[in-house]
Amino acid sequence: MTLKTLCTPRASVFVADRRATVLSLDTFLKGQVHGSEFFDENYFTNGMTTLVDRAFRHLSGTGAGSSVFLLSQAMGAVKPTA
Amino acid sequence: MIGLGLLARDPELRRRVLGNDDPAPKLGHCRVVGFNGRSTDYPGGIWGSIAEQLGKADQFARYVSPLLSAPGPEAWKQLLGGDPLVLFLDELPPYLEYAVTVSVGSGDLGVVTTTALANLFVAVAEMNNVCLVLSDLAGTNFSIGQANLQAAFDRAVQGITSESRRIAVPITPVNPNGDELYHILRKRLFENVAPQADIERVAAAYRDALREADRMNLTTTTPESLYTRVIDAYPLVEDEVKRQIASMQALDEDGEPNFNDADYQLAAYAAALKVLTQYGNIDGRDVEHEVFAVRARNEKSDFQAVIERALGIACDTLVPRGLDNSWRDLSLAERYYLRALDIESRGERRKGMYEELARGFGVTDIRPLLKSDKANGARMYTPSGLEASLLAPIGGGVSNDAVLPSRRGRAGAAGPHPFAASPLRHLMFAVRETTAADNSPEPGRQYLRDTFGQGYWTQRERFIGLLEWLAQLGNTAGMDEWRDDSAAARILAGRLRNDHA
Repeated sequence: MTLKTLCTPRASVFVADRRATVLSLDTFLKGQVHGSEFFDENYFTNGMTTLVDRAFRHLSGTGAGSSVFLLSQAMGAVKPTA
Repeated sequence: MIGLGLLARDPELRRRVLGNDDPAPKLGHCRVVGFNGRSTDYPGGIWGSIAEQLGKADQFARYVSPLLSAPGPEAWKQLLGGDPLVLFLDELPPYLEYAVTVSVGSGDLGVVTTTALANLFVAVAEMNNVCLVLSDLAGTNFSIGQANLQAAFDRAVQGITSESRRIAVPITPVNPNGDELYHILRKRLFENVAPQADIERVAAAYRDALREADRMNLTTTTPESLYTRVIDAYPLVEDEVKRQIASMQALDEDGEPNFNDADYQLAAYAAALKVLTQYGNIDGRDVEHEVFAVRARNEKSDFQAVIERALGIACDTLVPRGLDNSWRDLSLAERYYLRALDIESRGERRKGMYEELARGFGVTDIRPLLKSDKANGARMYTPSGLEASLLAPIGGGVSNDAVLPSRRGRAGAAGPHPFAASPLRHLMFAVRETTAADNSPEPGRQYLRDTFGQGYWTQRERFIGLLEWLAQLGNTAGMDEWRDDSAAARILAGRLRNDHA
């Protein structure tokens, strides 16, 4: 039982010129992010689920949901409790 | 952010990805615009860029030139009104930090931008067709920018008429305390991962290995928490273990090191720990403390213990048959003694071989252990042969002078011989006591309980294993000297196995 037999890496992992593992907003605004591929490779976190749910509820005009969201993420270090 | 943007733009994709969980099945295409705070050089600033993306640059021209000025809430409403719109403002703190350095009229761009943002928040809070999503890079170094963003929020709160409305919903994209990071990496890196049953088998193997380590009093991490952690972390841990083993095998192929199974097992522990110690704590226990805690009663420095362990790994070449389970917990001097007995039981009598072996284990002074140091009559002392000599309190004031290679030549300069304070030496003394009492195990058992205290119970299994190994020596041809002590060791092992508090 080895990793090689049990797991299949994505072909995209081996692409040498892969721009970045973190896509930037600019790439998206220029329309350079492919929707299906993006969701194939990205996991829906709880935070994302909440954001998507509440944003679309608001936009659908049902009066539910929220209109302003603040994404906070401390990258690389654990955020102090303050 | 990008995920929401993709879903907003494309209703078809939204239906495919969200399926039955789509909160707004009737919602069609949404406009998506955004501004990245790293674009500090954009001439029209935040609102100039947004107006241009919406195709309404003309409408906002007067807020852009000749001087950048802050649009009011009504201006924002007119700009953003119409079809559903998602507006992203990414990484604003760097922009706001930069903005205070740009003069606008008698003030600076920071003041203008903060005002414009406050007005934007007020406008959006009163619009049903706009969603505004901001990111603030919490925890990074843009404290001035953060403060300005907060100021914009505060100002907006004052301007909002519906008092109860919360200005912004805080979202943590990735929960740092759960297993989301693993899910993200797994999905990003692998098209397929192993079936759940196989992952559980791997995790169970780690749990069992840790259980063994736990029984030997090597760790206080609970096997169950490791099991859960491995299931979460698979395949990251296994990856690290494979890398570690592969690098050792590469060394082995060159001929020299010749690692054995115990080394590979240790390396596997080390590699697993390497991954696990990337976390500050596991189950509320401080990992660093657990890893470096030395369990001897009398203090040894953490590094000393690590060096000894590393040296032990480096020196081991072969584990005598039957000692696989105890081997990794033995000190170098103990390993030397047992390995020397091993070659003795196979008829080796050349003194040079015993000396060669001692060099391999870094033991410099073997005279107290060798009963006969004639050139071709070398033998190790038996428990009865050593009697009460070469005994020192467990772990007390043990000098490593006789062990560390860098100190060779100064052996015995200070402190007792490293073998004297080892558990094996005390175990041998208990065997000797048993022999002396006509094979009554009570004095030997009492000696071990007095010597090891609470440690007696945690190390009992280990003692039994070693005693059983010593017990079989007497049956070997040419090891007649061991007959009495081997019989005593067998009886003492049986007594220990049936001991109860």
